Amino acid sequence: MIIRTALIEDAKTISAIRRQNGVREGVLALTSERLDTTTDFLKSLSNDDRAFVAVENQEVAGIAVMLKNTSPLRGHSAAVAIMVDPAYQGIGIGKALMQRIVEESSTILNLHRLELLVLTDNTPAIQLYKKFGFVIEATRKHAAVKNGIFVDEYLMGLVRPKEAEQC
Amino acid sequence: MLIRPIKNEDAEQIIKINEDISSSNSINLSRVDFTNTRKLIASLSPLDHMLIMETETPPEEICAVLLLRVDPQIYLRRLATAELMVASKWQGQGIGKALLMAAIEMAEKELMMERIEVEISVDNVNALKLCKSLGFKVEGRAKDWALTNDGKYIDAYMLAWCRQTVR
Repeated sequence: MIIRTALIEDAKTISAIRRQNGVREGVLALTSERLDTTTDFLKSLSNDDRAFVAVENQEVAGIAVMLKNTSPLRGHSAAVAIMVDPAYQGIGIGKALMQRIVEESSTILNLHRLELLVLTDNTPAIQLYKKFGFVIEATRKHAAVKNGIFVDEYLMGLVRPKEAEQC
Repeated sequence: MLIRPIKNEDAEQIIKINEDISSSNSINLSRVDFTNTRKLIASLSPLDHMLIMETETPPEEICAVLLLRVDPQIYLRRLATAELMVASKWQGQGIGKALLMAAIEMAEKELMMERIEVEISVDNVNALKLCKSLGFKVEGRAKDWALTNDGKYIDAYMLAWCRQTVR
């Protein structure tokens, strides 16, 4: 498996993964989501944002994005989202992607804080995030929809200790 | 007191209110930039709702501003964020509460929102009290959420109002 920066040409595979059952609900995609949504998203990334894909057997098997917060008071932090093709789940792809994100956030971007949202029933993902030091900070009631009902979501945060920062 | 939709001409007064509040002790965790109110008003989409509370007798004076944003990515999940600004001289008189109440009512009965979110800096006791009195619940606390003017990180309470469901 290799981790590399996502390219516009990856949009087709990423879009297909986003629309799959089991992924769609967690990433706020829709069955009707057009390819343009993903292409436009990849094109919109700024220099402070990151998008990586994991490639397994020459195929994009997962993607991770890190979007730096743009609000003036929140520039020290970024939002993270990871998704893995269900066919490739459970073989360490999410872990490798998160590893790259966390490294990039500290060594290149020197961010103080990362945050992410995850459905409260997505145990494998929550366990993975916890391994990297993310803690559950809030339970967001009815913040997502799954199979026709409102479901809850966790806000998880990872804060770097002050002494680890460069400035 | 009168509650009405925003007009382009309101920008001047809102900029003054924002400058005034920004110099106070409590951190305004606003995700939008009220310093550039003209641009903000011009860029409002059909998913953005901006209400003004002003005095009824001339000369009309804006006392509070509220921005309710239906999340554009996930509006189908019926989620909105709210931001409220009350001019310093009009604080402590229930004006913010009345305006936020009007926005909740609109969100609940017209927009059919399931959920309204606010973020409050942990030092902003008055805002916390106000939101709690209107049925917002603290869902958690995010560490080092924002950066203060003197370069320190401050935590934020994550609050949400949720539609009462009859089961």
